[in-house]
Amino acid sequence: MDSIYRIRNRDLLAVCVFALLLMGVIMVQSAAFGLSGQVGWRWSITGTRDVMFVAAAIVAFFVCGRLDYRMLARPNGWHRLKGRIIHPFGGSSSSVSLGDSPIRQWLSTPAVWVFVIAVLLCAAVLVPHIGKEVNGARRWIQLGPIQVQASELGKWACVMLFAWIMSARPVDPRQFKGLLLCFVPMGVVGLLIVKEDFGTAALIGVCMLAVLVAGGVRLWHLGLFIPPLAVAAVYFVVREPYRLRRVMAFLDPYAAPQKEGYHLIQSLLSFASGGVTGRGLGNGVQKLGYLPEDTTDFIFAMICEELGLFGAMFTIVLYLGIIWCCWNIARRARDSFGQLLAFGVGCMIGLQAMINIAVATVSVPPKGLPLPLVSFGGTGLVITCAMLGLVYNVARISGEDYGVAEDTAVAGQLRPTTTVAPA
Amino acid sequence: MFTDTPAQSSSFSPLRAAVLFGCIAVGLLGLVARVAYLQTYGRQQQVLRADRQHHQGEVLPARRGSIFDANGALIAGSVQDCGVYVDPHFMHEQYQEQNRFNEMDKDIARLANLLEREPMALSKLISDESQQRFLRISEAVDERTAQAVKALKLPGVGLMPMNRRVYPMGSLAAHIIGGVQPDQIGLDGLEMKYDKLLAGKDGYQRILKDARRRGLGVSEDDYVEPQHGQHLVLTIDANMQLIAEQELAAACKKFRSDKGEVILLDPYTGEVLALADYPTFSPQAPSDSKPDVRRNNALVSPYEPGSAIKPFIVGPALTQQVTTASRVWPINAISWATPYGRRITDTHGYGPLTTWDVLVKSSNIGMSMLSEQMGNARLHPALVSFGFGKRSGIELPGEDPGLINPLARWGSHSTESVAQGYEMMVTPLQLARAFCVYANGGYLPPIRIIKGTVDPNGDIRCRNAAPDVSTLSRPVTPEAAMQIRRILADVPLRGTASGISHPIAGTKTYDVPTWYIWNIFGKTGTAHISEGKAGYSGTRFNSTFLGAAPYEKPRLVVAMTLHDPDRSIAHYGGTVSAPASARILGRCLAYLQVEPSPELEPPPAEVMAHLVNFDPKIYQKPANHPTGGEAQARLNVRH
Repeated sequence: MDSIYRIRNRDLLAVCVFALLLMGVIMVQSAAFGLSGQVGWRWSITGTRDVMFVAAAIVAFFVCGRLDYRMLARPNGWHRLKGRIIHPFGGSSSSVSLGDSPIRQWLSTPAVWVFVIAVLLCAAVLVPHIGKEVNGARRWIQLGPIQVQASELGKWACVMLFAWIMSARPVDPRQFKGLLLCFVPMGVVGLLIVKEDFGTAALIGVCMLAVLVAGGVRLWHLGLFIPPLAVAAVYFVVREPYRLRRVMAFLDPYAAPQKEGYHLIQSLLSFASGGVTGRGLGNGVQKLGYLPEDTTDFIFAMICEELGLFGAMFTIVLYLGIIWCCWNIARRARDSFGQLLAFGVGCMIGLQAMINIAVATVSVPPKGLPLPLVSFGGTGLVITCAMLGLVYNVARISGEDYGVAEDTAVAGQLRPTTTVAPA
Repeated sequence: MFTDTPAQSSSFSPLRAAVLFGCIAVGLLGLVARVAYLQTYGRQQQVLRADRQHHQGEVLPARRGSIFDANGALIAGSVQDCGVYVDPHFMHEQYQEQNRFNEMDKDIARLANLLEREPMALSKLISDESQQRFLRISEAVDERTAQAVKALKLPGVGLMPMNRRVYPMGSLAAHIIGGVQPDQIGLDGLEMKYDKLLAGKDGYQRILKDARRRGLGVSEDDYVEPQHGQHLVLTIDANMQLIAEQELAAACKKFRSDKGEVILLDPYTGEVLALADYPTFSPQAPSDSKPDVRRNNALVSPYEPGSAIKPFIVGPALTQQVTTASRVWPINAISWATPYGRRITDTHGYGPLTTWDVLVKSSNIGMSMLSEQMGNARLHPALVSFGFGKRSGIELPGEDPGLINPLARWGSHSTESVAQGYEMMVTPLQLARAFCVYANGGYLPPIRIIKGTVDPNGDIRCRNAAPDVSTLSRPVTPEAAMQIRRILADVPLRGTASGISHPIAGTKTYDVPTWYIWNIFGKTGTAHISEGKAGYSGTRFNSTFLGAAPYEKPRLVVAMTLHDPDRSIAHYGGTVSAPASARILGRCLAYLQVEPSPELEPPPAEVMAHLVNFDPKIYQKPANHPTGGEAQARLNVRH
């Protein structure tokens, strides 16, 4: 069964990730190229920037693939890592003890303080002069030369935090009280994000629920939350008139073809324009200023217009590949933090891709979510790849290859491992 | 608690994870189906919309073909001009956006002044049509105006190339050409009949546009080259057409006739050399005239020809040897009762006349006796064989076949009625065509007005070949044709049209000096106008002259009809139509530089024997009569 031809899950994951990144580079370049309205090949500014971000994302993927993900869930994990880097073969003698207080222990856990930093950034975005407003939504924060989308960071911080909560169990989520406490960080991030980026907040909510479910909370506990959450969701939709209009526009885009329905109509026209065969790479017409957000939210419509059904299926199969890999990695991971981390990342990417494609195909009301790994996304792309790098690392450390731990960098820290039986 | 949790004791539930991942996977696969739907069935409703959004269609107008006369002179042509259009919707939007709505009327007024339009009217038009995207406000402006309009830089106002029809010869041949509507569609005449040929086929291109409506290019599949229209070459000679029109108009004015037609044919080929109607109109602005005026009466309005029909009965009578030219008819009074008791009258009491003189004097009694002898059974096919009751096939729209009742509906009255040119309807064109039989020696030529077409590259596409004489119908034998021709040559000298060869009373000047140079043969006709149930008018006449010249080898056949000339001036065909026809013949023969005719031989002895007061001097041409250029100069003097 374990033939030498067997493709390791993590390599398949890397292949899917790189294929999607490549697809993104090509399509962003194609879309951005259309805007210039010129004939002949030319690197566009957006396309060039995308290549730089993708390069950074690949670096992030490999760096995180080499880091030991477990340090994220350990108190003082960062110092242990630092020690590893400074003394590759020695112990971590320089770590600063924060004492035995559980709160201190928690706060010294990287997964927690990454989350705290993310929350602070999300809060900072809301401050008028710090947050940068683009297209009427204040979602970005300027850090030196780069813009960071705080919600993007918050999203992944939540995944890490919940994987940690479910594995380290500072509270027991299997009990209702513990579950309620779990909702506190989620609520904090959600409330900070929801005003400017409802889509991401909803995505975080759904994804965290999935992590809770996979992490073993009692389902009837969760069931108790459904009615109030539904009420809250409806309230948010109804309170902001633009959201309600967007929802209504989805039902009948042609009611307001120049306003709320415009994005949707243009997206539908992209599918119509391309047909099953597509117009061919670079031949898309909708990108000539018709399809808005063609490098980000609606890039899937552009893929379909240029590459047809084949392009759509290829893209979706790659996401399915990522999910498949994440599941395999999750169930073979050595510890529950790794399991939940792999699951959370896979779930987040799968869900976001699903929602984005559903929006592009006008199957659900529009949300401003990019297509993960493909859209021109800047820092979000880098963070996503970093998270996938961690999943890669989970697979490495689980020693999925022939059941042998092969992580040499942190081998000294490992206890003897047991063979993980194939499911 | 803060150490690694072994996998075995994990809280992670692979089953739940699998179910959740499965849901996402099912969702993604469902979206593949959704994409496939949108690209196939869901596409139908959107694909047209997408196409409209991406492409802007543009018609590439084909150039309309020109119309030339037989010598290549341009009668109708197209030039490209600049039209001005407005996008009222865009215009309103722009002024509203820039908050300059109050300046709009002022700007429109400036535009209106340039285009020489009423500012208020234009302003109202633009605001009335404010939802429209295209409004043509000027058909054709010159270069300077176009530049000025461009310099105004008004939003929503643009220039577009437009083809405009021009008629450099003005109203010449108006009834043949017809004219076009503002959208270049033929309205009448050849412009209508040959609209498809002249118009060609517009081309088309679809321009790929980006969202800012900038054109990005035209792909090969989206370009259809326009096929320019073909040119028409007519048999009309503009010079002769002008002569015909001038003389027709002069005659109509002189005799206060409100309607008249003249046709000039080449008797051998049946080519129409000139065809004129009075009153005329300007093809440049056909809508300024009434449809009634634009009607080409020469071929669409049949009438009862009167005596002009007589040679077409005598000819077959001679061919069928019903009678001879020298046979004497026992006319002894001004009126005669037919066998069934109908009373036939002549204008004068002639006494016994030969068949020859029955025709020269146009005796109704003589003709009635002759037709009585011929009988309906031979009369009917005789007339039909000259093409009456059938269309001549001229390439002009709306030709009327005229009317000859079927033989079964002819009664005993018909014999005399038809012999005098009633109970049948003919068009002037049919008369002229039938008269060609006597001019060319016996065959009925096909009538045509199109010499050929020339394709846009200047290559001759098709040419109407000259008719093959051997296949054409021959209503009379060549001998009978020659005989009739000789008889009719007496008509202008001592018959009903003798006015044209006599000096103006009390002077030595001649109204029509044509006969000095060329011998004319012809036949007059004066017919009462039918007033429906009220019978025939006693005071209103159609005056016809059928003629050809020169006698020896006829080059031209002319048929002129004036309807309802003022009776207080004149009403006989010989005094109304004949002089004008003779002038047309004279001027055209001079233009063609035809050899002058010798003097006519007197009639044969057996005919001469029955002539009363016959003076052979009438066949002598006056000494020192003008010829050549001098004759032409004298003919061109308008009276």
